[in-house]
Amino acid sequence: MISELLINAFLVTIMLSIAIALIRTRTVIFTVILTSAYSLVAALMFITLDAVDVAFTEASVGAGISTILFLAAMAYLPKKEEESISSEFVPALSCIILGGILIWCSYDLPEIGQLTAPIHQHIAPEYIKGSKEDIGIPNIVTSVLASYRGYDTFGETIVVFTAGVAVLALLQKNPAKKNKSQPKQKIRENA
Amino acid sequence: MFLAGLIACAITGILILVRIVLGKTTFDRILAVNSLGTVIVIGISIHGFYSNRPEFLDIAIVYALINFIGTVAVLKLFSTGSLGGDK
Repeated sequence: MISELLINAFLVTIMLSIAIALIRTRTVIFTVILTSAYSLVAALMFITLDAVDVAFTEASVGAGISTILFLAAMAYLPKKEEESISSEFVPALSCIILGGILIWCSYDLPEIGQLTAPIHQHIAPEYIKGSKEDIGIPNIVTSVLASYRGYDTFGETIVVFTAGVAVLALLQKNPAKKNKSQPKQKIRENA
Repeated sequence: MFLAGLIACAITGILILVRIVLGKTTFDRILAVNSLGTVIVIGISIHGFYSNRPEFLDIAIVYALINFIGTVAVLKLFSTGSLGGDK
């Protein structure tokens, strides 16, 4: 128990120091790299919380794909961030207020793993009981995702597919540019 | 035994983190984040055995792949200046 606490405290400390470094940096590429490192540590945090599937998603989407997307977008940006003119007081204040509200709300949460929590009382027992007869596959998570909440999963798949198509369309080279018969050397100069 | 490995990983992670934050050049930082990923892969594996759930090795493999892809993407951006198409 105490070692679990120590691991969590260590991970939170690392995430906090990465976040502080993120605030203070003014170079775009460094920001992207730090965000990737943050996601890696966050995924480790999810593993210690026993949320393995979330950790999978965080590692592949947060640390992998979004870093590459940021980099692809970064090619179109100037290398240095401009110094911001407006004051930093209002954003800092709103962040502190929001964080305070979230921490305050977290006191109302049931304890982790508590059996009497509403989430374990509502419909989950019926899923666990009926999964074998209704669907006929041993894995309850799969039967919930693919059958009990099949429409939800279908909608999510459509959203993810649309996002993927949009990203591909954005990353594609401009076909109008391609048709112009420019010598290759000139394109290189423009880039 | 496993706890000692975890502590060693933690200390290495802190050292790498110092390098990420203070790093002189961008390449130092890229290398540091890459090695942080490696340390985290080792950490996940050891943590899996420490908590008697070695199934977590799957995630360590995904991590290693993601780490590799990320580093290659950053370096490709540096060498060619873009990721989409052949500029």
